[in-house]
Amino acid sequence: MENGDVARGFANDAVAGGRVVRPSHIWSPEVIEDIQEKAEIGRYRIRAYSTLRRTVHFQDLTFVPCTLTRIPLEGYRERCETRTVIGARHGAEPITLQTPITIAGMSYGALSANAKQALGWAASRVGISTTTGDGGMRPGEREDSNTLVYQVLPSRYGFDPHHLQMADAAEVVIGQGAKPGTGGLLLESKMSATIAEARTLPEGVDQRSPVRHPDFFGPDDLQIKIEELREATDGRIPIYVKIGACRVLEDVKLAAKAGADVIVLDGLEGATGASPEALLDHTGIPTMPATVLAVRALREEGLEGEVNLIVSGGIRDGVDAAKALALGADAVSIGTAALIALNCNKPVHHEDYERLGTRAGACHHCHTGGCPVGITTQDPELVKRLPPQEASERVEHFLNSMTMEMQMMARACGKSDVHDLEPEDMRALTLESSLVTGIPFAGMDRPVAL
Amino acid sequence: MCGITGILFKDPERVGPVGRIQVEMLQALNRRGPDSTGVALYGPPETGFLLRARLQPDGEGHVERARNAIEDLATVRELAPTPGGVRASVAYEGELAALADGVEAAEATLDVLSLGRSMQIVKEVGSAEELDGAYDISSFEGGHAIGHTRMATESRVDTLHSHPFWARPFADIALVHNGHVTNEHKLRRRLEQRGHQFLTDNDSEVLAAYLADQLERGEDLGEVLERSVRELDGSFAYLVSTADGIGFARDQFGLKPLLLAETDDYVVLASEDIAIRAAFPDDDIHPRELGAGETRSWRR
Amino acid sequence: MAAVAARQVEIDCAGRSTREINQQIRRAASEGAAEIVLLHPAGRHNLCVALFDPVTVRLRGDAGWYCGGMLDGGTVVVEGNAGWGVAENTMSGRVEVVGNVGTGAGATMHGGELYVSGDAGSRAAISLKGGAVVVGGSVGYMSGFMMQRGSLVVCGDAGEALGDSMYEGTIYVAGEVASLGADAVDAEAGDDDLEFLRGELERHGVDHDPSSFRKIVSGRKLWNFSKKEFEVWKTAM
Repeated sequence: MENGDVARGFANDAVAGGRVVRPSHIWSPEVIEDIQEKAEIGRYRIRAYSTLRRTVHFQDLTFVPCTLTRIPLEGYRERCETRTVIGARHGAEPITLQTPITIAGMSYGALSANAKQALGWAASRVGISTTTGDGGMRPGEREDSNTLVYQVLPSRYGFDPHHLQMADAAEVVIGQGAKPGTGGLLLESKMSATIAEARTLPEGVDQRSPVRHPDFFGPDDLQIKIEELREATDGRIPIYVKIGACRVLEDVKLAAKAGADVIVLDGLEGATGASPEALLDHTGIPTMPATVLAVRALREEGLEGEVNLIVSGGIRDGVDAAKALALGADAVSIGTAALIALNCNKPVHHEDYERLGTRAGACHHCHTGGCPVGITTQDPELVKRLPPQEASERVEHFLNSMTMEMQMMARACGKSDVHDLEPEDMRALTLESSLVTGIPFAGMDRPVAL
Repeated sequence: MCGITGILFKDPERVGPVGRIQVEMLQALNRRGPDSTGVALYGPPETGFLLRARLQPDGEGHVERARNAIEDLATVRELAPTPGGVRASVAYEGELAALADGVEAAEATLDVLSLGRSMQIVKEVGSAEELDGAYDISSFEGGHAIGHTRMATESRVDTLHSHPFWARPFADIALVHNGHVTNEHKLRRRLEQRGHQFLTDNDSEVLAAYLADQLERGEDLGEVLERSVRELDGSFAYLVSTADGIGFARDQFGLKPLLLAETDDYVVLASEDIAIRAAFPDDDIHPRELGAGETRSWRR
Repeated sequence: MAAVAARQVEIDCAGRSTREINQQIRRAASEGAAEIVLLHPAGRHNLCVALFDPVTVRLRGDAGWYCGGMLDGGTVVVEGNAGWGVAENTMSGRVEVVGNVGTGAGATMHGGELYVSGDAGSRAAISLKGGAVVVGGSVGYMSGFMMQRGSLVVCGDAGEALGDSMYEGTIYVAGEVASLGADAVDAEAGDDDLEFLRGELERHGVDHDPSSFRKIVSGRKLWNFSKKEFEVWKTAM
């Protein structure tokens, strides 16, 4: 029972046997269950998805559209550009996105082949990019996606220079928002014969990827590695650097100094297919303050607009995306939202959710390999539940809805281009969000500052 | 994260083109450290002390004010402005700490960069070529030198945060460091408790003070280097230079690169071979990577 | 470029950008050169990266980092030393270094061969996925770390933590091993091993008795977590 269902029985000081039962905050039912589980298994807990914490998030901001001071654009009629061109800093062929959204790196291994295929087809129809993951480029992945970003990970599982040359961009992964400072994880049940062969691993191992790259360590070394990737591709493709949000101000400056054309910043809310639970809740900072710091870092280096910024981690809709753009990001990347559009946590196959010890709406069990809807599994019987064509249509629809929401916010604010959204188009609805963004708290004419 | 370089001519009588060698090596490492560049140069020792200070630009008269500040405490034999401040040759008896602290207290725009009988630290924001253009490092002849090109990690990009750090207040000791000491705050607080004062929030300054603290107590350089591998956490390849020698240490995980080439005539160390070859293109030397946790020192 | 002999081409690295050098290598290869000689490499990084042509490139001097990285089919000979990541991620082909190399020699190779006459720094054959890394001298700390497949042959000594967290693959060491890494264990060398070593040593003109090599493989205790093996896991988790 990984979700502490027992706890619900104690909500609101439940009455038991005529006496009020009050759980402790420190030694809560969840903590009790956690300790006793660890007493059994002798290691840390592992699960998927992301932090369960509430964080300071884009949802704490609101837009202030045009009223009398400025003039709105017709919501359903007048032009609102979403085209986004990134990666041109060092003269590579830039990436053109028809809308400022990308599909984040998720491995074939963590995801089923059908899920990867559906994402590729959806992205191609919408005109955005997908990203490979740990394990390399799967057979057919290049064909499935019109714009494909090739990840260079610490494990280098399946890394093939020919695939690098076939890609539209390369993304050097330093870390991810869910668990910065640690390596990837793919457990036994998903280490099928096919996946294992692709990763040159024995079938059925609990794969724990290294955290560091094998041939470079610091940003001073990284700049040589980035040059190697440029040499391998004759300078043709943009080089992205992906980081988890930690010391964002310094890390973004270093990624820029090391030569990144695009920085992909993944915040605390970023999810993963498997991780030690402690990392999910206790490493990294939230995406929204991270975005603010990243933009400031580039501004201080004089590189705003020259180095492009993609942010990810808890982007749930076009409104979150619009706010990220307003704060200064060039684009957002989605992972979890795309999977949910595929069918993640769909209320079907209830008995299969129960068998995993969870239920639709709160299932974070990607790591088990028993995904009831065929997304994060290698079990062929489960994968059949996700026919790629109809799944890709759902993702396509969701991406379109995001675009419409972004345009709606932009037009209401009088912008004919979503990239013209600015921090000044927003107000903060919480003190915290005002503090971290420098945006005035609604009702005040200047930001809250200590 | 950065590039570091060191050159030492073994014969104590030998005076060689250490300045030119440093500039060539450091320029070759420029991509590894684009933010700032610095050198600690060792010439023939003086009877007095060589002082190098940074002056914040403050209109007319700050050189004169610097002279006055120094003259309050020491006898100035020679003083001249430099592109970033002043250099002076002084006669002085007493604790160097008192001299450095006193001069800085007397003149607010002044920061002492180095004090020593033979050592001079020159460092600025910018490249090795720019440093050489301003300070004519290439023409300096001496017995040994260390140098550094910086890619700032967690502290500011400015002259004071650049390397080499003078292991204040110990005469003629300097440090260049590549990497990041991850228990720097703990060490900093321990050293502050013992009376050390820091000018910056740079972890390398802590490393310099950590070494100075032990050398000041008479510890042997070789033992200090070995102890540092055990006590410092994180990543580091560093060079420490003294009045008559150079030593290095690499962290126990071997996370930052450092190469050594040695002949009967000289010892050269650098983060990358490209730097060694820039200064010694045709020499028959065989640079080798130093081991994880390895330390060593040489004296002229 | 000067044609020195039929199908041999010389490129002087001095005064050229790395991009130009690599482009000229590819052009010469496509025009039928059998051997390309690079003069004055002087420790330059990223030479001969992604060399897919069946051509030999000979460096008369030191290479920098990632020399011969992402090789697939070509041959690179460094008549000097090389830096970090030499031959990294080789798919097939051969890299030979006459001198010493830095950290990560043959990192994550999938096939092919790296031969180093001198010493290698730390982490030789890290994450090896296939092929062979043969070192005439010694290797440094954590060599063979997380090896998955392939072979590391060390004619000299090995530093601490040899073969740490290996999945599969084989390490052979003729000299002293400072220490074995987590889950690296000794194994009996069989006839296949001796034959393999004999072939490697002969090919590289190394005079060593194949039966004098110690064989090290994965203990397989880190493949799947077991709470009863905490001693093995505590440094690997």
